[in-house]
Amino acid sequence: MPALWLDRLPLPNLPAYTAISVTLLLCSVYFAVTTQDRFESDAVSRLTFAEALQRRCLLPPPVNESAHDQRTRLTDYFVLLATYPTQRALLHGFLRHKLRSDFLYWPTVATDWGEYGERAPESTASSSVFFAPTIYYRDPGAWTAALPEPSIQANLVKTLAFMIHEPLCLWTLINMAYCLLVLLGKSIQQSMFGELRVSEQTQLKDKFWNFVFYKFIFVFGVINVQHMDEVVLWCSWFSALGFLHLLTQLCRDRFEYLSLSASTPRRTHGRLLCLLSAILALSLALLVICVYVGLVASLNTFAFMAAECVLLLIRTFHTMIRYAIHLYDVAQTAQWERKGSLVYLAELMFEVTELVIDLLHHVHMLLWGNIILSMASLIICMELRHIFYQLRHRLARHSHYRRVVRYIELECVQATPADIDGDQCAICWDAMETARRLDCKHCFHATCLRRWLEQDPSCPTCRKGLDLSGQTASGQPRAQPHHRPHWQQHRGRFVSFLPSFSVEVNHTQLLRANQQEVPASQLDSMARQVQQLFPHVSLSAITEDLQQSGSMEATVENILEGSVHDHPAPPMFTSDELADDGGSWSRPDGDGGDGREEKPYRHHDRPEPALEPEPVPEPQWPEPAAPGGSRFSKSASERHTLLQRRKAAMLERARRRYLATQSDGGDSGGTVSTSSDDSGAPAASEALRPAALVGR
Amino acid sequence: MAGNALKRLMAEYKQLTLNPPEGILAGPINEENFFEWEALITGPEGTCFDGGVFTAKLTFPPDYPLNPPKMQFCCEMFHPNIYADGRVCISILHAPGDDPMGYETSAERWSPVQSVEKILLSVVSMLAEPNDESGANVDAAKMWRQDREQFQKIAQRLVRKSLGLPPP
Repeated sequence: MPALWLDRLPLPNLPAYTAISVTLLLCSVYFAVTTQDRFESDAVSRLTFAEALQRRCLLPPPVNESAHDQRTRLTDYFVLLATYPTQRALLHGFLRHKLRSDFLYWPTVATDWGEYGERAPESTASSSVFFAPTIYYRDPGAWTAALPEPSIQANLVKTLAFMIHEPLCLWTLINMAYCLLVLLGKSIQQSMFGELRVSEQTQLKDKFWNFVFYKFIFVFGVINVQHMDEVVLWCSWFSALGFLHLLTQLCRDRFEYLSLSASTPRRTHGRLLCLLSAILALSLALLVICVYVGLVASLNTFAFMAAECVLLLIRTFHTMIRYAIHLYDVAQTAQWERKGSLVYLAELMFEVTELVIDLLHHVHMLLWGNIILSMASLIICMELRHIFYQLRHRLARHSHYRRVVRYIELECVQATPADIDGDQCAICWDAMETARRLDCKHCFHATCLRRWLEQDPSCPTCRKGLDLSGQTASGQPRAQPHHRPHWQQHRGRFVSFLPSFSVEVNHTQLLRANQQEVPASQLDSMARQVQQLFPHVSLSAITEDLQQSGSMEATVENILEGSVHDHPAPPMFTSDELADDGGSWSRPDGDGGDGREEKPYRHHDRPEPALEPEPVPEPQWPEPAAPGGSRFSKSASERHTLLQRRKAAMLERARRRYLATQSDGGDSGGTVSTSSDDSGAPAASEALRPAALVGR
Repeated sequence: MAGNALKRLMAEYKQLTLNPPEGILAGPINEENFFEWEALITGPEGTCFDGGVFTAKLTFPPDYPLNPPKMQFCCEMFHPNIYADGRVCISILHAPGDDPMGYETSAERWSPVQSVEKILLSVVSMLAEPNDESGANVDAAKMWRQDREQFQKIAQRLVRKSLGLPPP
């Protein structure tokens, strides 16, 4: 919900934002450089009350005074001051800011006090980048003396120290850091992903605002930080984490998108994997930071930080593993028998680990939260409930999976080669080497069967219900017992599981018969036209190819591809992929046209649709037929063009036919379609039956 | 895993390209995304949709043969089993688990042995013989039952439109 609302906020575009940030930074640097000298010379006049206080307190103690004594003296001093009501508020703010701030200032200030007398000036200067203000106030003289000569580096350090101390400058610095992060993200996106797709953009936006929302709740609701320094530290931590999270999300989205395509270049995959490994390395580095912080600060902080970090690590690793499996799978042509269970186990492991860590993280947040009854704990509870349900659902799915696996192991026998008989698995359409046989004698790959049975306990082919619970003796069918074909709903007769008998022979004969119908004179004129385009190819070769292809366009295509040679004009469709699908089918598109002409059409003795007023001497039937449409090219772009061409041809053919029907029948065109509800449908079904049976 | 689905879709595409059934054409809209296909369906002969070539879009789920694709006509359709927005309502396209209409047995629904070809052939048969019991488009179902003349007139208009011809 926050995403929705925040979505509408107008955001400045990146160049403007960068320009503003840089300008601000320059201004603040200028401010720092000009101010700090004045500040040094006229320190007292610029001090606020609190700062004056601080300066007073932190004045170097007498060398012989111990740290304890000094603290007591200071406390007394504060107590004394605090008795004046007007000063109490200021004092309170100062104390909170300086003395109770847990892990940045207080320890340093304390130890500095202890060691002040012994510390060498050089070490003070070098270690003082962050804590410079403290030292600075303690003794301006010591600070300047500590620097051997005002080199550029020293000046830089000084300026930086000043800027970190000064709130206004600090904010511009933080803003600049964010600007750089955004620029980095943008450049990674440009170089790795190119233009983002719309769904990726929305995903990214959602994820981003969700992340911001939940981390806000975490920082202010759970940790309940009150000091600016802590807020800054947490923010920078979450910025780094969120940045990596978003990148992972983007990688995952992109991977899912790429896995939908069969023709992604290897380079794209390589780049994405590189990015993922970089994220992995960075999140490992973040984990190291967690450990360090855990050692310095509390264990709680460590647990909070580490949980987030490990989640990121797991997500990245998960995506990488999925990616690797996918790439391996695509490269592999044969079915990889053990793949299914391996992939499943890997997925299960990752998902469950992620959910468990998330669950623990949220429970920790809930318990550690300062106030149990607050808005934040309510939100965490809701989140917790969601995660818990997810986890339960996942585990339930796993137990179902185990039931299915057990069923397949125990109840489905290994199919013998006789059972398989060179068949393909009806689920994945791959050849079967090993398979499992169901009671109803249907065989499938074990993995394919497992994936289906997880979803629905029935035989995919005959829909016989299976009893997965284990007592198969009483395996009463759950769904329809037997052979109630799904198409009964529509009373259609086209789609059936009847064993297919060969209709190919018919079609082939039709095809052949029709091909000879192309008059030799027409062939000749077509060949001449083609030769005008390609003078270097001999007429005989063109004619031969035309005889094969039946269309000028296909021949032109062939010549362009270089598959038409002068002497031994090779048959066009001889690739092995055609061989296994029945080479005789190589031109079903043209044959689609023939088939049509063979049907009721012919009976009515309608004229050929091509007898239209067409001034150009075009070939009569083959032209609208799709040229080379039946080839299944290995190249994606070629496949695409062929499909487009076939589409256009089909439309064109239908249009001509329709016009022919209209002009032929005049009035009968209307009556045919209006009177045909009872007689027409069976005719249509007759027309379609052979085609329906071609499939398996 | 999208890998399995991809292989299977590729096989189906090949099959449909090499042995296209009569009056049907289907393939990915864009080779970049193999999970969105477009299909051209010729209206069955002798029915009121005779001669029209209707385009439809098929969207496959990532676990494709386990779950059915979604099918939606991209051109205007008026048919008892096609929703006004073009979605097709036939039992073969319903996942085995859910039963939106409440009358189908699971045997009528999707199973991984179905294929794009079988879906498209079912749709052709649906065009030929609407099932007015499952009214995805109630108006069309009513008209089909009561005013067949008017239905045919509308269908003829749609046929002409699908062919890109001006209305008569």
